[in-house]
Amino acid sequence: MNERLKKWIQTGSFDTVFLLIVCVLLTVGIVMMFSASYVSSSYDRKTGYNPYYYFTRQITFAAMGIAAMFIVSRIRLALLKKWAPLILIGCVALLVLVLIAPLKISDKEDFRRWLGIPGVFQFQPSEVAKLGLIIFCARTLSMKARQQNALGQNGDPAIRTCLLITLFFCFLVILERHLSGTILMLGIGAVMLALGGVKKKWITLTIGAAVFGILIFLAFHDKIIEILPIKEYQKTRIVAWLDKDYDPTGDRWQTNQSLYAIGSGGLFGLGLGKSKQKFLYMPEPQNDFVFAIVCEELGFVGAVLILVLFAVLIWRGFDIAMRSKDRFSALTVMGIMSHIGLQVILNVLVVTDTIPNTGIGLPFFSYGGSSLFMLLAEVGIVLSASRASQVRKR
Amino acid sequence: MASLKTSRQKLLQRAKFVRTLICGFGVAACVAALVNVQLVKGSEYREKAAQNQLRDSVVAARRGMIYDANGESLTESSNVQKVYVDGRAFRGYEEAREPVVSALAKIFDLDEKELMEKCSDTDSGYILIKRRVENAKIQELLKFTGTYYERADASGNLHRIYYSDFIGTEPDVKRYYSKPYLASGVLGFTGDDGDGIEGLEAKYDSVLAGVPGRIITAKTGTYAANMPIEYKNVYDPQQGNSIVLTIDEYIQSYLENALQDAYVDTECDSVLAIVMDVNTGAVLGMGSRGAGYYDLSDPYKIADERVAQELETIEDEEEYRQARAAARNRQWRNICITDAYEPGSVFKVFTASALLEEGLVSMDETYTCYGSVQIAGSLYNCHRHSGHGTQDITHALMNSCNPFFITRGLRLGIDGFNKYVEAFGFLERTGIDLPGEANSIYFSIDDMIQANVASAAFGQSFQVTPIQMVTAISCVANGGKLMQPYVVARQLDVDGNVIAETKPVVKRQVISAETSEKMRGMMEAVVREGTGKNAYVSGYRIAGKTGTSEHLGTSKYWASFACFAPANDPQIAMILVIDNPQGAHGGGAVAAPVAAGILENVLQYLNVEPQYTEDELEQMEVVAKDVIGLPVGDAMQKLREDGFTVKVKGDGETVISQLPFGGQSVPKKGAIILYTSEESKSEMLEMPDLTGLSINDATNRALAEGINIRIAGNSLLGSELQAYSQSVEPGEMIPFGTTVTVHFKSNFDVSDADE
Repeated sequence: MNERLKKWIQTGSFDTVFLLIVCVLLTVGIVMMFSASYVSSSYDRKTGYNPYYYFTRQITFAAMGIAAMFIVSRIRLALLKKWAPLILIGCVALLVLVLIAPLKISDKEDFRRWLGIPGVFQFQPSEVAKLGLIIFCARTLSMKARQQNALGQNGDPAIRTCLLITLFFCFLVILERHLSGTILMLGIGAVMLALGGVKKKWITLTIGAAVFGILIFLAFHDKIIEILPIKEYQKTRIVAWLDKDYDPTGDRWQTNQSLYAIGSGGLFGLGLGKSKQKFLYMPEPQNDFVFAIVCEELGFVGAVLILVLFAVLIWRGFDIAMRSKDRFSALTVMGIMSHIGLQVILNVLVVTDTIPNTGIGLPFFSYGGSSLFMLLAEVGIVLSASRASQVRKR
Repeated sequence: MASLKTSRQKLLQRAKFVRTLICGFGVAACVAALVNVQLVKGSEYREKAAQNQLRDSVVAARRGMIYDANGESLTESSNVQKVYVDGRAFRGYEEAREPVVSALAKIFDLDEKELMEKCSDTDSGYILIKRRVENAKIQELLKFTGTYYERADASGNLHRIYYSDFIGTEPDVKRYYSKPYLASGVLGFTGDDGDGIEGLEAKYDSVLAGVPGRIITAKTGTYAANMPIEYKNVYDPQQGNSIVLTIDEYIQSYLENALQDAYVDTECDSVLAIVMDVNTGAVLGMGSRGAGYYDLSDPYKIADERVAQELETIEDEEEYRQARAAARNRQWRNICITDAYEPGSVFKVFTASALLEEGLVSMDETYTCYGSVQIAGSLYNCHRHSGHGTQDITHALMNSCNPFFITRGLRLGIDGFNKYVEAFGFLERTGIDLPGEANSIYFSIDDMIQANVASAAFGQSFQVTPIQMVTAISCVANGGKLMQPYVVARQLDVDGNVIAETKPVVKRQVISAETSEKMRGMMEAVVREGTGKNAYVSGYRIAGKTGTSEHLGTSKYWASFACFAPANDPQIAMILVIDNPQGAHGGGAVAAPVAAGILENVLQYLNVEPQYTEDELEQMEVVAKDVIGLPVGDAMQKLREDGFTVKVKGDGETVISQLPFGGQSVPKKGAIILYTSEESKSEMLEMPDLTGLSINDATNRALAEGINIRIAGNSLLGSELQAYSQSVEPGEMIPFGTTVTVHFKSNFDVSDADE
């Protein structure tokens, strides 16, 4: 084999426990997504009344994602680090392109989130950009380690770069009218900065400011919403979250249906496949609100079990990261695991109406080709890191 | 490397911090949120979800049945469907409306334009298209809703759009009628919402309606479809209670058939009759033609051909609509209880009853009629201008002599007369259990003068309803008890248990049993020999009184006949009123023969023992002996012994067939045809025209031809009678030996008014 190529291939065996948890979550996720979606898709003219529409497509994406995962798990992360600037440029290009020539999707003409060829292939550049941001931040912050002595404690250009890039990404994503993407982007950036060694006082300050901001907002939300520089539909979503009786057949419909679904589930659920809320009450049950149907069918016990699985996955992912000697790999894996963790938490909080409806999917569960594919590719990166630490152990 | 190590330791420290934040704090927040939503507020949300998902749909209750007096069901209810369109489904799918509308218009025979307008309401999810749709039509509809069209989405993919997305069905109940015209004026009908609108359906709506059921189904969010899962709570509809009428299907049929014939024959505006059980006030039959007659299964259709044809000639649309509305109102009107008529001479029965009851006239007191009488400055003519001569009260009633009842009636005085008018129930509604009963139109009692009594005494200048009349006649017949008429005998629950029973109500004793008995004899004489002789039915003792009265200021007449039978032990009473008959208009000439036809059938049906006179026994029917197989000579001798006229057809030596057959009843002295060869059996004869002939002439003519006649009508009157109708039309080909019923009536001395 070509020596140059061989250099980039990651040897060693990956963490089987981690992969096992991923497989369990993916399987449960696809089954639940199918259970949630088959009614609405069998009634939907857009899917050609095909109950298996989302299921078959999700399976296809999963297959492609698993293939990508194994391929990526063989790539040495050093290669990603090397290409990080290139990845960054690519991501920026995609994020700009999506603003210029977005793919319009029926019913969602207002949004500029997708790129692709109509009817054949579509994806959200922000999904790619999140990984891009993680990789770039990890690279920048791992460079710091070498330069730390030279730079001293005052002023950290790496932190600053990361902060700027994060904000720039957020800016591009918010132009897509993609609030959830922006929030995740911000969260990922914050986690990367925290891991990357931003001073504790800044962390404390940020958390303090966030808590204070939320309290202020809750206290004076009427006035604050008026002056917030966000779109009207986003305002209504916040109003709909604050006022539980707001427009029950309109803006709060989905959230209410979600609560009814979760509430109907009770302790042990109605049983797999027996959701009633999926019978055209819950709009798009295959998407962001799939967890509500999970709660309805599997109950509190099932839902908590899934959350625990996610927690174990993240825990294990951090273990892998902490085992890796290489700072870039560690930061990348932690970034990825934080991304997954953030998304799970935000999704569950949205579905339970704890925070306003932003539109964040549940990893492995929500329908969506590009997000599932990227997610599995990210898992591939984690596996690659686990291979590397295995090699070192021997 | 120390700094590197420091940096790594720092990283691990931060990593643990972040991990704790996510796996501990974050997941804990999620679990807390779930505890709140799923466990703490779970039941509240579960309830709301149920409210959301569960749709209450009303299942129409089966309406109770209506049975006739014999328990025959007159109505039938069955489960059908109603069809609606989901207007909201057309939003964004406007192209589907045209095919949907055109298919529905075609299947249900509806106006496409109107339907299109109806279906353009995209805010309504429930646009009712058709109620009471039967299964065959639903199958047709399902064939259509199973089809689809294809349309491309934004990305050019073709999708199937099923027509079932736009059309839905729900359970409904429909009423059926085994005889859709029978007693239509009494039964009434229900509206689109299933509520009774007319007749008994309206009066007994609360009894018949039942309690609608509920089906609680889990419905899908967007379409009205059921969730394809087991989730159904059914509260069965409670079927309405049934009612059993006093009306007897057979009596009603006899009555209505006779009315139909009379309606056609007399070309009257309307004709009605009520048959009542004299002892209970139960109505055994009530019907009419010209009004109160329609198709129960399609009450909006104009049932009267005469009226329908008239309607067709109206060209102006508005005028047509009004005329059609008027015609519908008229055909739904049970004129037996809603329309008053002038009783005319029939009312003399009550004047006579009052006079006898008060002892103001004795049975043998005589009065001489000179053709007119002067009362308080007014001249009252008798219908026979030459006068009836000297007569007692019986003959005055038989002749329907006006001066007798005017002069004697005045003896009662204004108050005395009114006392009986009121006592016989002519000043109040009878209280029959039918909707829309009218009251009489009588003088203002406080302002009445002698002249009013003079005309009222022979039944003029006021109007009563037919139900009042038949109730009062029953009172005269039954020993003087005024009954409250009713048509519903019992109410039954679903299992057939009696839950309510109508007990006959005696309103009051109006006249004594003795007076009643006298009246029975007098009224029987009216039919036997007086103006009512055309109502005579051989074998039955019928009592009656004719009436002829003018519509004030016109040349239209009411011809009426009130009667009861048997005269010695009354069981049924009847009123028959013909409004504006063409040609002859006298009650005795027009109404009495129709009444006779009904009475004969009804009395036979009720198994009233016939009481024949000697003359009638002469004409009694005899059972023919079976002579098939016998030599012709023996057969002829055997039959002649029984008084039959025998005719032989064919030239064989033994009888191979006979008509009438052995065992059949044949009028005494009737004809029996013996066939001796196969070819002779197919011989037919042309029915001769017997109308206009006397009984003797008709009998002789029939025997000569080789047919038998059965005499219907008052056969005691001999040569005075003329045949006026026959059961087989002249010119029809019939086999030899057929028995033809021939109706006879008298045109002599049957008038009670100016002809």
